[in-house]
Amino acid sequence: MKTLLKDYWLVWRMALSARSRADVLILGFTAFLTLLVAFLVMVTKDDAVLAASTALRVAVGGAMMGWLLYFVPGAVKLNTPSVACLVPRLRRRLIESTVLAWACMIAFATLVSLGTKLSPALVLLATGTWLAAYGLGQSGHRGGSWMQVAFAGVFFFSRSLPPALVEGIQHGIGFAIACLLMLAFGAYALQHMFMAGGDRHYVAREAQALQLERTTAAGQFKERKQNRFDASLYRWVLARDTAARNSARLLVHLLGARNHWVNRAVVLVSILALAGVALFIMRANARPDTQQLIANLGWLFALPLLLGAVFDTEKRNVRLKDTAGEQALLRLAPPLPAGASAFNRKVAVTLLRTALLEWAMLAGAVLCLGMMTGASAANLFKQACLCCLTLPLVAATLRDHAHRSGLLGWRLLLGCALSFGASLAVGVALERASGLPYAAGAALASMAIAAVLVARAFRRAEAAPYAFPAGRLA
Amino acid sequence: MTNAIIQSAAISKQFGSVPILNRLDWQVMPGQVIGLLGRNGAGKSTLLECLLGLREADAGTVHVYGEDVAHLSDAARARIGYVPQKSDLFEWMTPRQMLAYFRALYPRWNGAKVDGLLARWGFDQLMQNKPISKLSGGEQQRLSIIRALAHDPELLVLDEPVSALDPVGRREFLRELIDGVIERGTTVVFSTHILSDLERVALDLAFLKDGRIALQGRLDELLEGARRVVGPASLLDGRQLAGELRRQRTADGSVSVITHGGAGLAQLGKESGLRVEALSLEDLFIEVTQ
Repeated sequence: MKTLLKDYWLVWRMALSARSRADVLILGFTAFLTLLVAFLVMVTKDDAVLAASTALRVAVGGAMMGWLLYFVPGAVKLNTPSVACLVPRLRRRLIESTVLAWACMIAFATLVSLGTKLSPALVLLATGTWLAAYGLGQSGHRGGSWMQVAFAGVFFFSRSLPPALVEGIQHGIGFAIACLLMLAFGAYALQHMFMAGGDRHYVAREAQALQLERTTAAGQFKERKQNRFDASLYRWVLARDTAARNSARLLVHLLGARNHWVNRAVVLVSILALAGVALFIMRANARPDTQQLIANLGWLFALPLLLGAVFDTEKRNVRLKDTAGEQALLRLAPPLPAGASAFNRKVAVTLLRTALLEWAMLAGAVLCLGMMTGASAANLFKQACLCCLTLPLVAATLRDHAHRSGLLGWRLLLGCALSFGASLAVGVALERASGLPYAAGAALASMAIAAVLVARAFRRAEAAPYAFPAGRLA
Repeated sequence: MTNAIIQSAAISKQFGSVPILNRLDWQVMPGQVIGLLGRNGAGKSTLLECLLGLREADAGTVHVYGEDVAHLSDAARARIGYVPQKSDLFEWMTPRQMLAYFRALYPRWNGAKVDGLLARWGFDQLMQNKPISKLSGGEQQRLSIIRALAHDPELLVLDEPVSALDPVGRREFLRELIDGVIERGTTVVFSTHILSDLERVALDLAFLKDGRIALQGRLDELLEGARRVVGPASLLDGRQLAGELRRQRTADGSVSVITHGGAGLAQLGKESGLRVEALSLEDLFIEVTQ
């Protein structure tokens, strides 16, 4: 028994050590969440006992879930083909530990739901299924990731589910069948998460590595594998650009296949298509007041897509650092201009053009989503103005790449916050002074900020040493 | 004014506080085939990168084909082929796509040579359409070499080109280097640790030590001229030998002196208690770079 417990403890610590400072992060986040919930309950209900009991549940549940979310990926990572085949007991202990952790989490969630409006049976089924889907997703199985999305969809559209089905799976034979299905799914997930070596394991390991090690040792995002459609589209674009022998267009390929603007366009079109279908279903099933709510506020939900502008900027910066080796070859290629200034100008123009194009695509997608929600012209105008607030981000692509490369991180976020704040302040001031709507004023201010930043960054880039290979002077 | 293809004068480079190149003077003449030798971390890659303008030297000047390396013209760049130590080859592309990409960038491209090398070096249709990231290290290195040779460069710079190749791959590469490159009069500078390959290919050797070229010469002359004189300390201490490169005391108390091109060594060998030995390339590498 002692050996068994020692094994579990060892597995637990090893899995958690795959992420540095996991304990601190989990405890810190749980403490924050607990205090926040306690405060909110106290403010809204003015009931100290209720606040304390809710906080306790959040604390225990948050900590358990936190550790579980860290443990599962760590455990999957530990189960390499060689470990699975050669290290005695380890694979078995990993499976047992995961099952134990899942069981504890399901039991806790079910217990907590007792005495609330939630159905304990549904909570049990939902927690179990979600945990298995999460584990499957963490093991690099696409089905797991899609299951999590579908799970969110079911949660969101729960009112649209047939009441008989919802009622049926909570009691008797329906509940038993649902439990069996959940267990079967859990077993399948475990089998995929902890393979026992062999070719399949080696193949799955690649997907797992991408899923579990999203960043390189330098903290940069790894490139994900292209699907067949993306790959064939990229093949066509590359063939077209090489046939044209246009050095600027060829330079864009340095950002990689997944970050080429054509693939970004495909991603946005896919998002629009999915959102379109979801909105159609939602509007078809919703009550008139809900439909009105979607039309009035739905456009706001399109705005998070603008975060894509931040991610795109960072991805470009990261790719420029990652491809320093390829850049050395390009530096020696004849058609690129001689002299650091001319060379950097060419690089800067190419990157700026790409950044503007991607920003325009993103803004277009946001507006399309707004239109799909049935937003009014006034709201669409506001949405367009808000899109302009992210325009200054295009300047972040123009840098002294030789000295500074890779993620901008908090500097980019701080810059965004300052730019947003300044633009909104100008917008409000202009509205008071001239009656111009604040959103339009803020958009104009953002465009002016973008122009100033781009001009300044351009001058700096021209005066900098050769941009390629990026990061060599850092 | 010389007609050197690469002319570097007093180049220095340091990373942080660590000096790598120390006022290094070097020149590479047309048609020379130079093997650059040095221990790990001696700065061979840094030197090659500085010579091609891929890294800025902290001090000194580099001219390639008479042009400042920071402002190389299109024509000059079209004459250079480079194989980096790590074959960074647009790994999201397939070999076929990558070669088409570079064909679009170079004014001259020897398609027949590329096809021939691909066929000879085992790149069948399947492999040519596989993402480069899926190729093994050796296959990527071969592809990197094919890319560098494709535009028939007049100056070929290779940074440890055979480090990831198996013996068969190395032999094929060396055959190509001798038959297809060196015999065409191409100037070649390459760094390697595999001394047996150097002996087959290089006509000249340059040893990099302490940020400078410590010794350079024709391979046969270096091997003919290099000698190790071993004897008791009583005979060698305080006695400066002609062409002396290095001197050390061995564990048994005797003294070993490495000389190069020193006159009178034959005479020295006749002295009682002294022994004069020829050096292999490996011995020479160890003695010069230690």
